[in-house]
Amino acid sequence: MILNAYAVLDGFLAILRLGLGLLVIFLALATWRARRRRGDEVVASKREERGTLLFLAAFALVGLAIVSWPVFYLLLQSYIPEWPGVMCIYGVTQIGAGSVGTARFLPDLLRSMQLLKPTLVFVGGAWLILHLLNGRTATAPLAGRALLALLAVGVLATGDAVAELAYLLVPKKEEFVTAGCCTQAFDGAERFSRFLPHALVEEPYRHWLNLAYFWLNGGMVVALFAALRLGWMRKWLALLAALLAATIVLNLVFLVETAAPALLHLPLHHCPYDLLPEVPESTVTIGLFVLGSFAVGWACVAAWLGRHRETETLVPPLVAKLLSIGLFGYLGSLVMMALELALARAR
Amino acid sequence: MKRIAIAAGIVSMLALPFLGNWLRRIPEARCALDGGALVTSYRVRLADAQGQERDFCCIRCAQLWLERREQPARAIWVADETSGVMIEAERAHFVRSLVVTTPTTGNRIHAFRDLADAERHAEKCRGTILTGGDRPFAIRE
Repeated sequence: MILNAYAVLDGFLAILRLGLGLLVIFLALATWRARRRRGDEVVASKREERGTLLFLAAFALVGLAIVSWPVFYLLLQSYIPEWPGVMCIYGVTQIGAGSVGTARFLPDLLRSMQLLKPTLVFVGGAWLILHLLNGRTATAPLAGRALLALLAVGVLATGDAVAELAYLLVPKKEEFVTAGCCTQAFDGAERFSRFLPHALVEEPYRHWLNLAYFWLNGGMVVALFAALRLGWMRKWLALLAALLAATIVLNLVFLVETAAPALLHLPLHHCPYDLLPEVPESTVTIGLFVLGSFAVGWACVAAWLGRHRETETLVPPLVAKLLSIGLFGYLGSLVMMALELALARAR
Repeated sequence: MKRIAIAAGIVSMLALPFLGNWLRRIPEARCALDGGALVTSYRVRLADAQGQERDFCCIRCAQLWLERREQPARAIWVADETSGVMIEAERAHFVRSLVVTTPTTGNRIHAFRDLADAERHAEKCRGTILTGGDRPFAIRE
């Protein structure tokens, strides 16, 4: 175990999340069972108290999940000096690869956490949206869906916390990086972009990727603006959801193929992890994109999963609010990225 | 109040790239391939087809750079591992040994000005003196 300030903070957050996650699972299952039973006033009062406790625990859990996301990357960043062959977070994620001891689980644990954390934040937000809508109705018609989302939050948070605690506790001195750091993984011909058409990612054609990035994200901004100005419809949301999926994929490719080399001033180096220490403001750009895409996703959740006779008047203003946040995120990230790239080229 | 907060958020969002760029206005010398630190004894310098000079942290990084460029380098210099002095790559003696010069790339090729130094390193660190096509930059030189 490597003990530093970030490891202590991360461990503390993971223990809190584990406790709250288990509590949320237990209370959500208990509430689910209690919903099926009919009872007198005492039972109803108990159910209400349990509901309040469940809400508070889940709210704290979602808050902790959001905080733990950047702390996790700061922890990985703080581990870099521990190994001579590691120059960025990517290298840390490779520690333990090829080992025969317990360290062999480290890369898989990190991979699962890198997927679990954004999923947890998104599902947590989706639960909050459903809870907000449900709370404004007279007969709580969305309680079942909100409870299911909450159960998912509890399970994901518990899994994430267990993985994080395991990562912290597994000894990391056993195996060093053998294949070099990010230069080998992101700059070689084997990187994930090999699955994409060469006309998009190969150096002479990269302007097509840049054009696609600005057109697609710009298109998303225009679509969000139009949705807000003209009023939203379910078909419109389906288009936004399709655009959302396309922008997530494209922005990932753009980050690796264009943004990282340009912002790092290293034309052949494609490691996005290097941006955290070298160009820290780019994390705000990425954060704005995550905020924008999550907000659009939550708007879809509100419109599709929050549908009920009682919520007919409640859903449109909530969706509009979420789409406004989405517009802010997408526009902010697009403008910041354009400025950063222009400044990097001018230097 | 809400509008002021939104305006402040937008202004700081727009100012951040300028601030970051200004703080990094003095570029530090680092490897042109991966941004790693330069060590005097292992560095490599090459002049590309346009005549622009670039520094690399090790021979491996310079090789990777050249592999991804269509045009060959105009000139290549490597640091003599014993003295740190830059010499033309074609005059250097290269040894591949068990000693890794740069852990981040796993480079194990060492450059020496004097054959005696190269032989001493090869003997001490179980290395092989590279000749002909095995020499780094052999094709591109």
